[in-house]
Amino acid sequence: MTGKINTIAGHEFKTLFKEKTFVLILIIFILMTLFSTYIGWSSRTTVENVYQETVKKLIADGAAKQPADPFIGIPVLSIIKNMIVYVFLIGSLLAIIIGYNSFLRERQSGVSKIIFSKPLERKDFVLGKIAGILYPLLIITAISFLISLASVSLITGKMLPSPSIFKLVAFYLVSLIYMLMFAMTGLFFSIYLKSESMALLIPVIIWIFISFVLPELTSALNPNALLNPTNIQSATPHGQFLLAIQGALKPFSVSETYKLISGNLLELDSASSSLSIMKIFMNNLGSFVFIIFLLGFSVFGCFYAMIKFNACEEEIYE
Amino acid sequence: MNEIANAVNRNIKNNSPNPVLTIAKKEYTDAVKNKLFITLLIFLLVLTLVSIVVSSFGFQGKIADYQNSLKILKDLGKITDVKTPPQFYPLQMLKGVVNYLEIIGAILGIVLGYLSIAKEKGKRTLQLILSRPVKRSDIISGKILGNTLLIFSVLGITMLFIYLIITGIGGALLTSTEIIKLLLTIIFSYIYIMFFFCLSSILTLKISSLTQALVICFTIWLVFVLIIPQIGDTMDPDNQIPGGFFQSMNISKPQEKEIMAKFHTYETTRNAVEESSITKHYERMSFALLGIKDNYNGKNLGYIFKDRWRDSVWLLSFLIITIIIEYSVLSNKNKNFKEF
Repeated sequence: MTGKINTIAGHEFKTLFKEKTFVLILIIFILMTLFSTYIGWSSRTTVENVYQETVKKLIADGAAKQPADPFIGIPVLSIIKNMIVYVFLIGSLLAIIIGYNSFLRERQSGVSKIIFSKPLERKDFVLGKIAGILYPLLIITAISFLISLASVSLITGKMLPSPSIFKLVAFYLVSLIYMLMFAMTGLFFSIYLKSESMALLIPVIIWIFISFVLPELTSALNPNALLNPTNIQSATPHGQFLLAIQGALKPFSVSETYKLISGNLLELDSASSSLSIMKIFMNNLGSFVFIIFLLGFSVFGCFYAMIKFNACEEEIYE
Repeated sequence: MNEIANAVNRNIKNNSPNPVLTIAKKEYTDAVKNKLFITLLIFLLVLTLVSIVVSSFGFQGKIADYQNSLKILKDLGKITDVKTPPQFYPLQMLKGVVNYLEIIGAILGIVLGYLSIAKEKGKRTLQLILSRPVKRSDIISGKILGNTLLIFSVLGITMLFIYLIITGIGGALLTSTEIIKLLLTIIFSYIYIMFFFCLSSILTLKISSLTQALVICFTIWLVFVLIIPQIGDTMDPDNQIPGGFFQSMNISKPQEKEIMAKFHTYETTRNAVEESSITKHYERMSFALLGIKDNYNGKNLGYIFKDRWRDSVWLLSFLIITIIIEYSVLSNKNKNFKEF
């Protein structure tokens, strides 16, 4: 059984890296990982200089008191805070495409009909597909981790302390789980739906709903404001009605949970730098369990869709 | 045989003067029957509703906070003069709607562009139409015209929906100037969506695999609509602190300008990053027209266009370039699209 799963996973893995679209998005993701450190460092350096100029200006204008530097004590790991948004944007879309392509390829070429005429259990096939999706995501995450670690160390001129390295590892593990959830959604719809374009569009709509609509309801932040990692911990809606909605929906707003946990792990402010990894997860336990539940649910959905899939009759169309 | 080819054929037999109109009509009716299009339209309307409801509750919350603070100050006897309360500008509630049009509007354009070509490629009818005495440019003109009407219909429905919510639920009446500004926003929204339509149809024409074409379209969408504006936004020094860096320092706008003048190169780079995305131009133009940016609120159209003319020119240039490319791709006489 394991042999069959490994064969399917291995084939999946090899095919994926031959696909131009996958390679294109992968390159964008890796480049953005590199850029995120540079952008973070450049913004921080500039804003510190802007602060110095502001102080000079205030003193020149006769201000009696010098305002406190808002950037004092902000941990070094927060330089890569943009990675939270890149995983949330590019990583998730990449994951949807990996999941979507995974079964679509077999359906388009008609191979699915041949595969299911062989003595192969459908659950083994799904397990193979899941493993074939997991391996590239693991590699992408590992590469991003190494790039982040190396670039932060290079820019700051010293190696990150071990607690920060552990937090970076934890951040990428949470990111992997988050991306896997979307990959499974992509796989589910590529098995379940008969239309190629709908199979891609529906997961994208779900992604938009999770990424922008739910957070807008729970934080009253418009979609653009949600893309600024600085706003993660400051989002509080006005009014009783929105506060009530926030209370009811916040635990289910998985993108906010991801951003909140990630923001704490990447020490976006000095308060979060004092939190241990365990404490960060315990503070968001219910919401994090919900992400795991959604991941499990989408995996279950893939098995269910595959059992229901009629290889003899199903024809996929544009 | 595909209906479009039949329709074109009928026109030729009947000496009908305009195949462009026939193709346009077919494009329109095909799209409104398409599940994908209907799904997106419903999603856009739901998002519009969510966004306006959230904005209106947010505004009511601000008023309530203001009244409470005023009451506390009055009770403490600390108030000497009453500051201006938060003003209600109904069009400012459309900030979220513009953001959603940036995201979903672009997807709508991509889907329409994809469907417009994919249906011909899937049924191999493009070669059939090309074998008839129909100019290649007429095919593109028909497709663009049909989808122009469709996009205007979608925007019309969305804006009517917005108007009904603002006037019916919000109880606010729009002035004639505000209605004109809303109509101009529709025109700029059309230009923005049409750009993605053309981009998507070019890629679907050029790339042999339809799935790959759609994935590449979504990748370009991700870069233009989300990544580039996000980079520009997070590079803004004022966005490094929740609530704004300069506000936290009690710095006025003129002082801020004076300070930022010393960071000219950084700001020019940041602006160049933002300006490479059509989304940012659309956002700047719409925010100015709708008065979402405070400095344009209550200003006349002359002032807005004088200040933001570059964005309208950029938007038009993006669209014109893609339309030219689209005509040149299909008009390429050497290409018979056999691979479809």
